Amino acid sequence: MKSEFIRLDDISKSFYGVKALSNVSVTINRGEAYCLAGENGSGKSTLIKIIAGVYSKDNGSIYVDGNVVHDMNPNKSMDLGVQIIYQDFSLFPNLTVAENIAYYNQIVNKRKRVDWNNIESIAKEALDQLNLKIDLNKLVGELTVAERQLVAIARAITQDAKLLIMDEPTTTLTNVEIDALFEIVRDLKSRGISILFISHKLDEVFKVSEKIIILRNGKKVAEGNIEDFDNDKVSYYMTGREITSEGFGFDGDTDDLILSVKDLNKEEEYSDINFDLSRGEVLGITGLLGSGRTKLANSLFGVSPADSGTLVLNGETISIDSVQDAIDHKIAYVPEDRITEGLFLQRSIGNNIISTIVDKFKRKFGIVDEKEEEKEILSWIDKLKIKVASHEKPVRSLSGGNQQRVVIARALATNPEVLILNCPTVGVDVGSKEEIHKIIRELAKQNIGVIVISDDIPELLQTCNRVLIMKKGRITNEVKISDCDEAHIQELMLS
Amino acid sequence: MIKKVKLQNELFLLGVLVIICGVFTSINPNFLSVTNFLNITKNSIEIGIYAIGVLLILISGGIDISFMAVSVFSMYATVKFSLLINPDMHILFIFLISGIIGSTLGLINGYIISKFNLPAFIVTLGTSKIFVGILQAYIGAKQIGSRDLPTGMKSYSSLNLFEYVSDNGIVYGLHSATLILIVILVLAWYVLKYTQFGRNIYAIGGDRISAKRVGINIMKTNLIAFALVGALAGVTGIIHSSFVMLASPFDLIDKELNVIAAVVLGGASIFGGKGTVLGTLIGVVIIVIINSSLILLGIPSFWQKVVVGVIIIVSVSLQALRERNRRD
Repeated sequence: MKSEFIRLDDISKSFYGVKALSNVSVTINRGEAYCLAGENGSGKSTLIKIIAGVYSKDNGSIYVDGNVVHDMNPNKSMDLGVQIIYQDFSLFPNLTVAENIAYYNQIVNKRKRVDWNNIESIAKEALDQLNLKIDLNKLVGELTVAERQLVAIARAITQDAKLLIMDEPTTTLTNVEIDALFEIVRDLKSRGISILFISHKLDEVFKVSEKIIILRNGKKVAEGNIEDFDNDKVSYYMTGREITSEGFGFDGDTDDLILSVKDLNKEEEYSDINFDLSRGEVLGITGLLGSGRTKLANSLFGVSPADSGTLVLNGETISIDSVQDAIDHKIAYVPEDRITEGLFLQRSIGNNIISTIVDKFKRKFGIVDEKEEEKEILSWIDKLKIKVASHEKPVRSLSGGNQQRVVIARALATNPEVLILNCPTVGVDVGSKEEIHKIIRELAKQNIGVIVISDDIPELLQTCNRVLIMKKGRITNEVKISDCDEAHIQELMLS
Repeated sequence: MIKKVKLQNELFLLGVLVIICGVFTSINPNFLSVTNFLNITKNSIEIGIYAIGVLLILISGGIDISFMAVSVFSMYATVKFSLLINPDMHILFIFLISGIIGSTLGLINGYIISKFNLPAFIVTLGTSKIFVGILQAYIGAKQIGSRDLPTGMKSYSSLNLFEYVSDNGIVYGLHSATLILIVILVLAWYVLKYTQFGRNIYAIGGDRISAKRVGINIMKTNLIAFALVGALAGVTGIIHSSFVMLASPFDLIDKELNVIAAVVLGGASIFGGKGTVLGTLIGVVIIVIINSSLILLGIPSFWQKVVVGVIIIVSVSLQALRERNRRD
């Protein structure tokens, strides 16, 4: 039995009368990794913020090393050895790696002067402890996402961290980088540091966690050793309902082509891209970050046109040199980053859904037919089961899963023949994910061609009937989902 | 590696400076004369000190357009005060009082901005009008000419480090305020590079939320930064008034853009987090040379405004482009 580091006993917290946490008790032992799972709004972040001292608890007690801690606040929490690595890492892009790593140290020790040699040695020591080689003089803004995460970890351990809380640590990493991260996590554990993961990607954190804690509606609904849980069981506890893995069976005519891509090339991005897409099919395209999958999608949608090659849509050769071309040919695209590329966050849900088809409602003198607009909006909200109080609320008020549905609705409103979805469920919780997958499968049945680009292999297994694997800008393999499994695809991606 | 990249910007600016000097020399060989050098130096003193204040604020991710109002307020109020209490007050006291008034006004800016989390541009635009209005309404709206200035300022106006008599008998000198500029430049360089306060300014400008999370006291840092700009503006107000031998409550106002242009040209980012003392100094010299040489070349003065405007837009566009490239 490992010794206890922090224990939360019977914690409750309400915001304006709404219970965010009720009577949650959690114990974290030294040197163990925990996975904190739960859907959006389940109370995960409230729990973390209580540990970090950002929120104060209404009821219950916090014990650190067996001693009760009154009035937890952010500084006290850090002093006790709790460090949070936020999803955005909270680094300074304009400062060097060395200075970023040593920053806590400077602040905590209340230094007035800056000794650059000292900063360098603190940073070097931290990186050495983690066996990392990152140029100390590089600006953090010039690092890759994975390197930034490592810098954030290095900064946390300069402060003698005893508990490292990592918020969605794997979402922006490639598989290779995730393995490297987990190697470090194992090392930290062996030195007695506890880890608490908040993650949607269950398969991954399973590999390095000992225990799992599942929250639903502010209550702890399950906890235990990770061996006793599997994906379906976790999903069940998180959502409170059975989620079945269905998969997509394509039963259409493979000769009924909707899109043929022939010899598509773009210098330094991808080359010799050939594939066909049949009506009613869901084709997956996968590959590691930088394999060219996103660049290819961008070309198909005209964001960055290909250098050479032909596209045949419905038997007719077309060229797509701009986004407008793609829209004219009824190709719709759901981008990876819905926040910056997809949505007008401040505008209403309804406005977002019809933003691509406003012209449809224009009447004489450019006056907009608001009744027709509303009808269209409501029909999409209904079709995609978007949970809204009112479609006049701004999009930013929605959860990740519902925002993604708005993006999909907007793409579908153009009545496309080909729909391209790039990482459709990034940052979406398990329940919504399943529903979005269902929507994708149903779309294909309405005889449009769907392309799903994703590095989430279970997602491809759920939605596609066929998957293309890309590596260094080329399509290296093609597999039928019916005769392969996750491990097989993973192997093909990495080999 | 980073030092190289940083210096690249300054080397580039230095190149621009050399080219500008080359062009002006080829048009008018007198450009490369001792008198012109002394002129440029003298003209760089005021803009240079203001620019250091603006640099601090820009790095921290804010902006201050009220510093000229603060400057004229402090200067005129100090002169009035000195004439009332003791017209023979020592020049150092005059500087001190003006600096204290300036930092108080700066603190007001900083407090409003940090306390209510308001955009610095709008707040300082507002306070600049308020400061000037209060000055002219309550402290005075009359110019104080050279004869009536405090004696300390009168003698300070011609306190040269050394003097040089040109062929036609005119005396040119290197004014002692050059020393003030040099001391402030060195101090600013030291503060920005070797004090935690200086690093915190960069950190806040780089990412405010991260700064909060590592435990930087953002409010305190902002207040100190704005107090410093105010103090620098107060001191510079006295230098300016001594140079022109006039204390006018209508002076200086609307000259902010020259200074901001110099700082931005010097590589400080309007998005915060970036900027160096050396770059700012070169930016100041370039702006001063362009402004004074356009006069020498007989180009009407309204063109100066066009040039300054173009410099701001070009520098900011370059920054924005660099920022965008980095993100891709």
